[in-house]
Amino acid sequence: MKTLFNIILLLLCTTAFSANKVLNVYNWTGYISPGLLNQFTKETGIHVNFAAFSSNDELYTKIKVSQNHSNFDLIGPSADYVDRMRKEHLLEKLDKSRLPNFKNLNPVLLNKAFDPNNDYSLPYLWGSTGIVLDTRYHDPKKVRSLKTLWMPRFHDQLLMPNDIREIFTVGLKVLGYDANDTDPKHIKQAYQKLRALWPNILVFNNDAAQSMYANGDATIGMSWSGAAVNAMKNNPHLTFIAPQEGLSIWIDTLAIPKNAPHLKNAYRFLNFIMRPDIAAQISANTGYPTPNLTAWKHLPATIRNNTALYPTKAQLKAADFQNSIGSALPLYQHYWMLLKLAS
Amino acid sequence: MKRFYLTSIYLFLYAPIAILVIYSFNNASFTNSVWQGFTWDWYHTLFNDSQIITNTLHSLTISTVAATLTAILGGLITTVFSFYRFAGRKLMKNSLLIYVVLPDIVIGTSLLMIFHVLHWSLGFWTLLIGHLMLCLPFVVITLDARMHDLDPFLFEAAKDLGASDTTIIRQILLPLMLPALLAAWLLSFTLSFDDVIISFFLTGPDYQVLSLYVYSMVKLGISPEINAICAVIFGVSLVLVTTAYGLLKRQ
Repeated sequence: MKTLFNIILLLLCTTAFSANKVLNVYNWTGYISPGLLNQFTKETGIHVNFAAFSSNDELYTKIKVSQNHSNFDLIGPSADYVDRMRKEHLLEKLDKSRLPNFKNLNPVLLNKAFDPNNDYSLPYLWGSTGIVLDTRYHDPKKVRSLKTLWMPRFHDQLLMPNDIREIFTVGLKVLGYDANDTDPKHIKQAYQKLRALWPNILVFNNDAAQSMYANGDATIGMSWSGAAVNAMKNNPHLTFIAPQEGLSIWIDTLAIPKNAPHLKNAYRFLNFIMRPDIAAQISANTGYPTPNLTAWKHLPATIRNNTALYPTKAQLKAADFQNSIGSALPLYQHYWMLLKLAS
Repeated sequence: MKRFYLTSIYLFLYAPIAILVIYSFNNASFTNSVWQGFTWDWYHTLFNDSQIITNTLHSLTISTVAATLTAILGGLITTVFSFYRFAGRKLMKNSLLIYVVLPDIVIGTSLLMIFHVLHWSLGFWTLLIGHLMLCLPFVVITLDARMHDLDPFLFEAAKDLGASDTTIIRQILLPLMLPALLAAWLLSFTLSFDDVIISFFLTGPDYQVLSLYVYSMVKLGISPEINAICAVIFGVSLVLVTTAYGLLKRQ
């Protein structure tokens, strides 16, 4: 009993860092490597508590339920959730004068519809979604458009992201609509189009996609650019194709929730990750492109000019940036469920 | 035939773990890649990865504390239920057992609401309370079953011979209940270590546990570091079980 009491006492001591030297971060696992967190602690003396979530809904629930008393200082929502959360007054407005390193960010990724002027969020990592195929099995010249995914010879072969928005983007774009379309008629058409794609889909997967492509368990499908490039390191026969209909681009951000207890530290951390050397390290650790223009300029040419990671200007211009679909979300979810049930 | 039957059962139980351990030495960046040569790299990264280590230590402490407290609380509850007769005893016992079938998500959300009303910030204590609620009914069931098997005359005989209550508890009840207490402790340890749902609701920024960490690796893929930490945990439990067995045998 005495030892138990001692253990509890010890625990209390280890968790109780002096209150103003702490930063509570809530982000995807693997987005910030422990090495970088240690470096931040070394430079600033601020201890970082890193908590991880596995979906935007999880993050949203935790922040929403605690009604702005979650104790988190920094969170990492994806673009569409930034829109939703800022409209529900869950995010703190960023004071740009406290973010001198903001100037390093790539203007192409700033001031998007989900957060005009980046008042509430900063791009942290981004990527595109395109077609991945193994050149040992398929001819990349014959797969230029999303339409080819519907061809009967790909029956039971496609590996797709397990993501409602990504899948509907494919359906909407093939029909010539915008990836963020909210017109119920268009959504229904996309649903009908996607039903025809279903027999070709082998599996939906996010976390094991890179190893499936690398091992040859899947030879064609769609994937996030970073996962595709990571898989290419193990399987050089893979290639990443930007479809004719245009890439779809997603942005994961960092934002400060309302009533963050350690606001000053949160700003210090944001400046820290926007430093070119740190941004380059984050990108190298995750395999995803950096939104930091200054960091990009200092990358090795092979990475900097890899169009799978950094699309060309023309590709970016033709691309759709993933945005919030607002009140159309329940309709998407309804059709998504019908699709999943059909399979 | 008997040998074949046993072998297949043990293969069924241990082959996945063996594969997990083997792949922790795989020289590839994804957890389920084809074999690409032997490496210690993942163990090296693991011991330099402060996040996984902290989360594992958190998991181990919360499970140990939760298991120990539930074993004590459960022991007291079963003693009361078996030795005392009072109004509402049946009702109390059954209402505790409802918790066995109550989904974790109900426990998680209801506790979260209470803590919110009380303005308790989430962390070690909230998580501990949640895990106590999770484990307690299972402990009571385990202990109650053993208690039923005990000979009630033992206690009457002891009393008859003038033993005090403390002596009865220390000399008769505790030694007889020890195997069940151990089993209950192990059961709650595992329940608490594995738990994802209650932990999701009740963990705060400064107290994260391993199960949640692994669960949230979906975005960038699960790294073979997880194989390595699982192999270490398996190895440690193997050593613990063997030493415990050896000690018991010597006694």
